[in-house]
Amino acid sequence: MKNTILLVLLLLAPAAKAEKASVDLSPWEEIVVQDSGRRKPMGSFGHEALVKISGRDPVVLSDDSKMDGTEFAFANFYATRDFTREPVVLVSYRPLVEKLGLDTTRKRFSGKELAGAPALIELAQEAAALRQTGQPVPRLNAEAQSVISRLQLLKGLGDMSAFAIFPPPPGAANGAAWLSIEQMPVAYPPETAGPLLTSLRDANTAARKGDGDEFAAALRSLVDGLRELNPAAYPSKDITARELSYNRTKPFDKAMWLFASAVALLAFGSRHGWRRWPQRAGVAVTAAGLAFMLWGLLQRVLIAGRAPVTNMYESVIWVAMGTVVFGLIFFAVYRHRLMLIAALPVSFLALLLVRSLPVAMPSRLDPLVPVLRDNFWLTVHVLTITLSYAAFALALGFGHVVLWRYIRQPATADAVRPLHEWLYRMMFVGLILLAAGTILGGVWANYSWGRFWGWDPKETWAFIALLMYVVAIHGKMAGWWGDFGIAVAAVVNFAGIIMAWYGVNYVLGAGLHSYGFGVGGEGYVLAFLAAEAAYVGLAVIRHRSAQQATLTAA
Amino acid sequence: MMPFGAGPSRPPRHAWKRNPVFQFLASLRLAVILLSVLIVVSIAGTIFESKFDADTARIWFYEAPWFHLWLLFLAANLVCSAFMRYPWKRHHTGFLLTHLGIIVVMIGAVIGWVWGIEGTMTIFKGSPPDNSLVLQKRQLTVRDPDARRAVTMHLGRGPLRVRNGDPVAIWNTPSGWNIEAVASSDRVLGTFEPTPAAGGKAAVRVRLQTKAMGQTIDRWLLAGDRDHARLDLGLITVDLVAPGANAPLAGAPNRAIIFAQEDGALRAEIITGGRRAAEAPLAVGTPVATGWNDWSIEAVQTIASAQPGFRFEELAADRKPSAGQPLIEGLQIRMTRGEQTITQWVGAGWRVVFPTGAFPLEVSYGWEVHRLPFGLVLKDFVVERNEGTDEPASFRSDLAMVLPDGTTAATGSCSMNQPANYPQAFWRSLTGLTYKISQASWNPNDLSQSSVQILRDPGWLAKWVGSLILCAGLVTMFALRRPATGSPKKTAAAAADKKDAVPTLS
Repeated sequence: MKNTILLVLLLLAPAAKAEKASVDLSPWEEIVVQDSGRRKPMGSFGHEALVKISGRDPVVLSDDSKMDGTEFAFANFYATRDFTREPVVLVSYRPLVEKLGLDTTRKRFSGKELAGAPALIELAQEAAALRQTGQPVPRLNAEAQSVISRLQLLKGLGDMSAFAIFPPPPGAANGAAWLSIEQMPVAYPPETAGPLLTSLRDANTAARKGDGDEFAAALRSLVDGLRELNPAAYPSKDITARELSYNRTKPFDKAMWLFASAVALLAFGSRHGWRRWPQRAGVAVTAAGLAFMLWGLLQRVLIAGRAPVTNMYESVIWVAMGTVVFGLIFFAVYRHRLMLIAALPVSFLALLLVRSLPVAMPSRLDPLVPVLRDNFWLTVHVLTITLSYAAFALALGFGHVVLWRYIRQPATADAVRPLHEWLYRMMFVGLILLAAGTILGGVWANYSWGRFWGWDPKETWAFIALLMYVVAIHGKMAGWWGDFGIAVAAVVNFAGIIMAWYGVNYVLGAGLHSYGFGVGGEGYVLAFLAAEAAYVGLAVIRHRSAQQATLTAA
Repeated sequence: MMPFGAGPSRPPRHAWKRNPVFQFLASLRLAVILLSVLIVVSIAGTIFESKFDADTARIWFYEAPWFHLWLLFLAANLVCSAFMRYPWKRHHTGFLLTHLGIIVVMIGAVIGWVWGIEGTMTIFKGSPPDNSLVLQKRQLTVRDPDARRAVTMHLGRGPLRVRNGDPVAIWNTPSGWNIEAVASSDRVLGTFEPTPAAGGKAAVRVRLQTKAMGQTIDRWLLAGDRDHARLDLGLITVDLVAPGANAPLAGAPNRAIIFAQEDGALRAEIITGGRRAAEAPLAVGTPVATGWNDWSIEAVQTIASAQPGFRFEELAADRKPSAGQPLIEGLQIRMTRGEQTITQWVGAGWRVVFPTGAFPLEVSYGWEVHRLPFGLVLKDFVVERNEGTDEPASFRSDLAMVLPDGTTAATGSCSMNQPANYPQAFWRSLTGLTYKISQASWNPNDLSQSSVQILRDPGWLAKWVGSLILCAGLVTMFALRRPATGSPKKTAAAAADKKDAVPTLS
């Protein structure tokens, strides 16, 4: 009875105050939530939920105010806003917006607006039926299903059922579900449940008064109380603190900006005179960016307890890091800043890409699907393959540098021997790693799927990409093209890598590597490919005309 | 700038090098053409797979005879180009190792292709040892019990296709029946319909009817069958129980249990709202009121001893199957003798009896089965879930390998990424001379079954040794690479010393 009253008090408390919490919410971030098969701090939960629902963090609300993930979770929990009326639910696929008869200039809609579009549920039900019979699901239906799952999550936040913050009593089965505020009073006696609910209510009161100290004190006693419920199941303070510090640091954003600055410095740099200083600074800034990336990946490994390359987000970041590492190695060997000027922009663009596509390439640390678990060969295979992508990405960047020479000084570009030799070596490193990685994939597949090679699309595209580089090298040996051809291949063949890496999972959507499948990002990739084609085309025209000129002169 | 000497441009010292066929096979240009075609074909294959399915891509591309011929051509090119550079020098090491590695991997692939065995098996907890491995190869068998003869068509990976309505001849039986396949389809629907057979179980065709809601459900039940002993409507269940057997304990609140008697008669027990309400004989053709609203239950037809069977038909392209009815592939088979014609669909994975007389002909269409030298028993199947969810985190099948004489030769577990081997010696897993049992898939609705994939690949040793040689070759090539114009490091440094002779952005 007492619990019920508290619950009612808690839920009635909001009084529809539509302003942001005026206290520092960091104590709120430390509450642990069980969600999507993992225990995580509220800070991560709010961020992941907001990104899943709206595709961004922070989101813009109807009154033009911005709200981040932590505030979003808080505002939902204490119902300080009516989120069914806020335009936070992402409908990113334009044909679906049209089909639902909604305003096509917008991408986010409120739950109320979407509830007025019955076609949404029909489309999602069709998708579910198709999935059950194993048939392909059209994009329109798949997107409708995603929108429905966003609405379900928003509803779960609104009715508090998604906030599984109470651990089950000790003695519950390993991996048992945590409890929401509604389920908790069933599992715990009133004398245990009461103080926790009181703390939650006190925190709300303090937040509304704007009393930060009282707010922090109430939530601290809440978290202590929650931990006492089941100390074995509750993550330690260190684990929570690690994840929150990783969230706050945003190491990959920092690395991205450091790499951009490093390029600027290196462009000014030189081996001689006063211009050695900008060069040295550029190298130091690159190293600092790399340190942030290493730290970030290490934190992800420690938080999730697995290798850092298990989804598109992590693999892009790993490749961005690998590109800089290879750039630094080549810089260390050949002592030329062009190595870094080629590597850093590629890395910068890769990091910018994942930052811009939080829905297509989510940064979530969800548990792995069974086939990706506990395997030495898998880890080695994926890390090797993605390192080969990094080496080819460096060759891609360096290919641009070489082609730039052909665009600017087409007559003399062939004569610059070291450039071509370096490019060749970069491609060769990629070739070795891709061959080894593909074979290691076969070794793993032999364990996991029972066969070494089965012409699965992912395997086949790795093979195709490998052959594309092999053909480039053999064609040059056969005399069909020269150094210029290798430079063109360094850029053009990367399309094969993009296909093997992104295309198989996001465009073809076929085969056994289905755990990596996703949708979105086609626009960016197509724009990239078009820009590359234009750049290569220009270089080819310049190179041709220079050759013609030489012939005429002779 | 060639990494391994001038190669073809040097005048050949050996007579055999002057042979034009050899020169053609050894040429770099042929290599480029072979590889380029391989690229184009592989791309087409993946697009095909995305548009259709994996089997189609395999049939038309990866496992097509011309594709294998092309790979053979490539192998010849690899070997000839290696001999073209004979006598070999130190700087050939990388190149030779790489080419050798590829050849060894290809040899391994051929060995695996010819002598390897690969298939899947679904095993059930509590079932006797099973040794029938289902291969990914289709076959069609017609059996003539009268003549004690059977013919089998081996169809390979793809289904038999009847194109443009041209019938495919199968067999002229000794009893004078001409058998042909007249149509093929991927939209074949099987309706459960037991067929009379000695040594089977009781089967009853049950009709449930409510006039108020205008609903009629008409279905065959077969006692003791894994999937068809119960009619489950959610709020209502009907069970058929063989003589002497016990009724399943759990059921819907409203349920009917039909007990088949030794003499062929039926007795029905009616449970309403979880409580036993009535028990009465169930006569064929006489509906009995159940007391659940106006539902009545009727035994329409009975078979005292029946085996599971299906009646197959093709679902029209514009009709959707109802929930839970999988569409399968199938063949329409026509049998003619004189004036007599019998035409029936046969669904893949099933045997259909054609009523051709006292000794009916049987057609089975499905997959080839390989008999393993040992039987597999599923002792336990364990699913771990991600915390707080229903999503599986891992699966594990605990297995026993049982010999034909009934002794258990070994036990083992296979889970995702951790296969079980039989026989278990380490050298066997290195050479592939073992049956490797991998966890393949599971049925979320039935945790007493597990699907495993079994592979015996005698080419495994060559595959991994060849891979190692290949990688070693690539690394050697990189390490021993001799650039055309001196050391790149020196050149670069020299260039850089001349006030950035290698300019950055201009």
